[in-house]
Amino acid sequence: MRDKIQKAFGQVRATEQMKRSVSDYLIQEMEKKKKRSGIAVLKPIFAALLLCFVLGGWYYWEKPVSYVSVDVNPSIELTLNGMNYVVRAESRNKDGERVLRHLQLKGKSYLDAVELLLESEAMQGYLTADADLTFTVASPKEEELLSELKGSAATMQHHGTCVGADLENVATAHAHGMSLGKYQIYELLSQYDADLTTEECQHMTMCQLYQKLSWYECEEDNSGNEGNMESGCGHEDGHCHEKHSHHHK
Amino acid sequence: MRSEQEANRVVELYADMVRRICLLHLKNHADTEDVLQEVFLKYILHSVAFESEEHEKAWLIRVTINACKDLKKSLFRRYTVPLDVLSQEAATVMPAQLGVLEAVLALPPKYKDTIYLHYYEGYTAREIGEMLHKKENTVYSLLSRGRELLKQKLGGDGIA
Repeated sequence: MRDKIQKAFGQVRATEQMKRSVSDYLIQEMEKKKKRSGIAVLKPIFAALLLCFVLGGWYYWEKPVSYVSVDVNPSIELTLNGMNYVVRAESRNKDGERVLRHLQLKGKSYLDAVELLLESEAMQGYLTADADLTFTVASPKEEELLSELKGSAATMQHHGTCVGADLENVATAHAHGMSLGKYQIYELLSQYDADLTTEECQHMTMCQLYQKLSWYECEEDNSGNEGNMESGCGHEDGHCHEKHSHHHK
Repeated sequence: MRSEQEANRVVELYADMVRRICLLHLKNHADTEDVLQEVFLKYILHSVAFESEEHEKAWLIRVTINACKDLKKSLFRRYTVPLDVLSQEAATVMPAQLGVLEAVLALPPKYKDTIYLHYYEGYTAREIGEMLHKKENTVYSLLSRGRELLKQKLGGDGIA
């Protein structure tokens, strides 16, 4: 029986066409598999690149680059990213807190944010005729920001003054619990009055601070002319002065 | 994954065997080609090394039988009209051997693998038992009964 079965089955063979078809199929499958494994190797690389891109974008968006301090009596500070969009809006005193309470400035372009801020109902209450609105800008792009702020309708409408400040002053101002704008004036005032504290300045409006500064400047100018201090400066009580060179860093 | 050379070697070496096992189970050539592809694809994707050529051959036999059974289980194929399964072989197989093939293929399924593995591939009852997950005594019974049935079918052909 073994012999007969061996002879019979021995004649059954896979045809050359069958073998070729299997070989072709296997080569095709092996190439597919290689491609898939190639893609599988690239997947984590793509994922890492995407993550870097997302994190890089997020970092670029969130990284503080410029600071714009808006002071009347409310002191509000806008932190801007490299694209001049607001990444943080913080109040630096109680009035500022009141103004910011109902405002959402984060994510807006700084000019839109400033406009929104000045047009807000809460802020309008402080922008009286004798109020003193000051924008203090600390930025590597200071000139660009100052020029845009000066040209903005909101600044012109409220007669705002735009001044520049050193970026290093930002951290110092914050350390004293002050806005950059008020700290700048404190620095100028402290040249005349060594006993003046940041706390005292913190409780004064911009108008009062400028009056004080003008007073010192006039006193200096008129040091030889007794009793002519007030009139020489062009100030009257209750009115704000015109802002001059002392605003600059 | 195994190399292209290994794939070619194994196809060259075992395609005939896979073809013969398919003949025992399947009714048409399209199914045979499907099983051939499936078995050798499994081989190239099988990453475990074989201890010997015998181990490799036994693995291929088991995979082929399982592939044939799986194919037959599929609903679609179950009702495929059996073609003249030996039509292609008729051209190449001598008439005397064709009768033997027909007799083996006509056996009930449970005998075919045992008869083929024992009488053609030369495996012992113990080896067949290991391969097909059957007891050695069961394999002996299947062989004995299968042989009887073949004798009846082939009559006085002197198969014993």
